[in-house]
Amino acid sequence: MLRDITLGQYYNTKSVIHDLDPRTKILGTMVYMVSLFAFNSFWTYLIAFAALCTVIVLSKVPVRFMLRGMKAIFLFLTITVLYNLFLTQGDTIFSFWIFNVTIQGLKQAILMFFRLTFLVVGTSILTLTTTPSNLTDGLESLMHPLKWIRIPVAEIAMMMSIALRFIPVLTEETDKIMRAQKARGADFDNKNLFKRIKSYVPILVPLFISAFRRANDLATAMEARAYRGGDGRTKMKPLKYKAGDWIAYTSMLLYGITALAITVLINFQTFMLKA
Amino acid sequence: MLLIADHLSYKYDKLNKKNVLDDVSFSINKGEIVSIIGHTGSGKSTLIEHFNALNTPTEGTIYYDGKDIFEKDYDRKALRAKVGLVFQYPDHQLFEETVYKDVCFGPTNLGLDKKEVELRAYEALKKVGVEDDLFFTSPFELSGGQKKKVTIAGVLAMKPEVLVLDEPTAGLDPKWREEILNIAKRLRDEDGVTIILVSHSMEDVARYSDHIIVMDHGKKLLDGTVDEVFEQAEVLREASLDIPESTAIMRLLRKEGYMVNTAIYDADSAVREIRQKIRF
Repeated sequence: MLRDITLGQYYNTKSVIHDLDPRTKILGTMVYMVSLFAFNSFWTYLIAFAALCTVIVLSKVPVRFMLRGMKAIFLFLTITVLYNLFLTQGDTIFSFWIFNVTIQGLKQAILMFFRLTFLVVGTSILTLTTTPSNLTDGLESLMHPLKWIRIPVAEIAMMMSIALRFIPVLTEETDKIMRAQKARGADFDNKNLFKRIKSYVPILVPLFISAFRRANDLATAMEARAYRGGDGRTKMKPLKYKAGDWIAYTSMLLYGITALAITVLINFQTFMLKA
Repeated sequence: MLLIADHLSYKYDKLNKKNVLDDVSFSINKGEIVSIIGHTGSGKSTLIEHFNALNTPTEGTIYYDGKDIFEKDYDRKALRAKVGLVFQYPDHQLFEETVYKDVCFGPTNLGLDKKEVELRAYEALKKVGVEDDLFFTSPFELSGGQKKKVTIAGVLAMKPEVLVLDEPTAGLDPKWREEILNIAKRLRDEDGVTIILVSHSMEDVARYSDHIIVMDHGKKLLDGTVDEVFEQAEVLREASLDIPESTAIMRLLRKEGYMVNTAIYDADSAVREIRQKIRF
């Protein structure tokens, strides 16, 4: 039943991408996202596509897992593409009824389609190859400078990892509570919406009580081990850059420079043609 | 035979090769007190969740009162009133503001009218021995043993023919253990309710059972009367289970040539038996 829900979408295997430092992967994803918005010529997108393919192959994660994220944004993607296709002003190619398809609109629609696809697949590589706890560690380390403006980075990270840790526990508990109430004749498949919402009260009350009890126990256990906030805490597995990370950073830099160079070159060409 | 498990197998998912239950068959008679015993992970909890169709077997089936409960048009909701299942943790079940309201939840779900519901709740609470002055307190303010009683009452109020208790004595002190097990025995003796106890400890349930089913790694290891099962002490040890210490002592004495009764499951009776049969 609820047992099937797994958190995030980490795909467990061994690959060079899995071995990278989470910071490298987070920054790499950010660079990639920025590049998709900053550069939008055919040639830069070809490079973006090549880069994506390389990382997918290196990560050893089956492509169908990456495309799973596409299902969630399918509706959004369709609307965006249609919107751009029909409602962009410019030189008409053909028109029917109230719709006008323009050459600019067609270009824009294709661009948007690839931009969104690359974005979703690119970011899903991050979550597919990084465990949630590693991701939290990476975020904490990257957000470290925010301490200067008094944002409690370590506490936020601690809250995130506790939340992640307890999701499977609470999922299992929900499952057990549901069974216990079903055994007393509770019915959760009622067609009437109002009745169905009401039928969840016998699940929510025990679940909340147990969540509060667990929170309380955890707080006591942390207190007993003298937890006093993030200041000066060391890590059991500190993040450390390895050779692979430097290769990754170099590739990122090369990718950025190539894309930038191509954009400059294209703009220079059009500028020269005009002149 | 009231309840028959017929070559029951269960897997969590199809991809997983491991069977949580592997070809389990047995039958339980009306009015018996049956104990299902096994170590953690032996599949005993998964097994009992089949009795009221909370789990659906991958293979095999269960017959209740001569009918296949996994047949398409079998009324499984009605079955849940006939086979009452009390889970291990009271906290997974209690949710109402008062003890009395909580016990009313089960019979209300059966669609009975208010008067009948209240009568049943009252009777159930009385049956398990919850004092009147606790009826209108919050179930969350009760002690562990009291909570356990209230959860049993919550299921009893549906008037089950079979009462399944999952680890009824876990986390309770000896006095409460005795009291909860005595409730089960009383229900059988006075109302003819068939009782199924699930436990990982022989010591606890041996005294109360007519019939023991031993589970190990999803398979049925032993099945028989208490004496028949304890006869197989070696097999039990392999499943990391033990016969009660008192029984073990009696068996040793017997081996040494003293003619003592070996069907003894607690310290008090052991002492009595030894005093009676052995003269120093």
